[in-house]
Amino acid sequence: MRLWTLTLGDVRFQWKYGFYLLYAIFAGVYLLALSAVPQSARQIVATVMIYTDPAAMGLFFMGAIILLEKSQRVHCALSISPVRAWEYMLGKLLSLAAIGMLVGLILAIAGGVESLPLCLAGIFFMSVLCSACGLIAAERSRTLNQFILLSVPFEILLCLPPILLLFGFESPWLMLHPGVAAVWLIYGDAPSALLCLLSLAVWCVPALWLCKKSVRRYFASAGGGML
Amino acid sequence: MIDIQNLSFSYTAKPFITDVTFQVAEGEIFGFLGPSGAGKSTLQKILTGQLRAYGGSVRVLGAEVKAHGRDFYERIGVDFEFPALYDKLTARENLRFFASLYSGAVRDADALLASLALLPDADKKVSDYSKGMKSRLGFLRALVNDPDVLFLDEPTSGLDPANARLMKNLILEEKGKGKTIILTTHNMQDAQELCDRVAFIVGGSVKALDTPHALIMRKGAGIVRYTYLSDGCEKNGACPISDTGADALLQTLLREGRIRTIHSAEPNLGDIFMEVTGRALE
Repeated sequence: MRLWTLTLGDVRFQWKYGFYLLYAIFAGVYLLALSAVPQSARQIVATVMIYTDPAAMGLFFMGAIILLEKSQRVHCALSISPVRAWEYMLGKLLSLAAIGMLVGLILAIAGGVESLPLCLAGIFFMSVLCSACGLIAAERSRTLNQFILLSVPFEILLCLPPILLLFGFESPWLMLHPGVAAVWLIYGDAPSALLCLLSLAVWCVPALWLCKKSVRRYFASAGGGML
Repeated sequence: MIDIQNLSFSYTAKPFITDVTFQVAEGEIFGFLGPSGAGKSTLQKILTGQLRAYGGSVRVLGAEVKAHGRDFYERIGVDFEFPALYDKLTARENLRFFASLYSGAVRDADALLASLALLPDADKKVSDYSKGMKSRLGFLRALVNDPDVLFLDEPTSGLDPANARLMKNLILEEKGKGKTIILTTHNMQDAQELCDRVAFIVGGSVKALDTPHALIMRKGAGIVRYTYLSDGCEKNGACPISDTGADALLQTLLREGRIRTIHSAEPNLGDIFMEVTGRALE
């Protein structure tokens, strides 16, 4: 119940700060761009768009969300409420995954991806992973510049292998990389959809564990020490 | 309700809170009185479980604070010195959101807003609130879960006299309902008016602890201050109330009708604080 409340609270927070308006504009721009792409290249372009934006949006937006919360000292109020670290974390992750999946779905339909369920699953897992990485970086940042610097390693690690894949470097071993697994799922021609899903799910476990630790530290910082 | 034994705490290698021991009974308003940086807020953070790396024993609501889980926060309310609210949400939305985080019964947001004269501004965004309005709303946020123990950090800071009065009345109302209240302040008038007992905190330790009246009476009775005319100039005189009959100058002035003003002045908590700790409160 509290998880639902927190998720809705985050959706409302993102709405009030204009994240949804921004995303509606992005989606419109992407749709226009897609319509200008030849039909033969539309699916691959849509995949790149979905992977680098709706799926990975948490990696960028989490910095803004957490820094805004810090500036309003909201984490102080949450740290002395019954909210558990995992509830807070999942509320953020699920709210960003929801908007990511919505925009991703629109782009996937426009781009003509092969399997919408697999595409949505890829977006969901990648969104969770990226948002968790974003939260870890944001918890340690006091300014937007610090966040940008701290999120760069995550961006390189998550984007480099999928770029290799796009340039034709294919190997089944790449399925072990979460970014590649997500790209395959979004595009819809994974060598093994099950293995890709498994790979993403496995990567989410340590990411969520580290993220939960970051949230506990984030709450503790409201009191000036570790819980 | 609260039992602290030999509490010690440090942010660094240097001890900050040392050997603090006291108890707070259910339904009591207990004040931490001290200058900035004395350790009052740190003590509050230890009591609210935000700082857990302490030495000694700190029991709140019947269990060691270190051992409390998140459900502990179902039963306490904390008002910070600075507002901790969502700027883009309205006052009503803020209270309703924070209330929705609790599993037990919560108070009605509108009734809370009305209690501190914020109902007419309930639909205004917090970012449009003045500092005093944010302080009042922050206080109400601490009440949403109808807590058994209420921790208030400088609750009347930044409030005009009328709103400070409203807030103090509400604090006394909560006490009337049997709530235990920990008041952290450097405002001696608030402490004197609201607290059943106060602890003078300086340098991380308790320098004195008693009821405000008992602390004031430590210094004995008040003094008599008077002004009189001498060679065309107004001069001041003073003597202890107990010595008015023996003060030769005062007796002469009274006989000769040269007294211009005369009044008694009782010491206040600030005077006692200064005497006990050698430091001013503000």
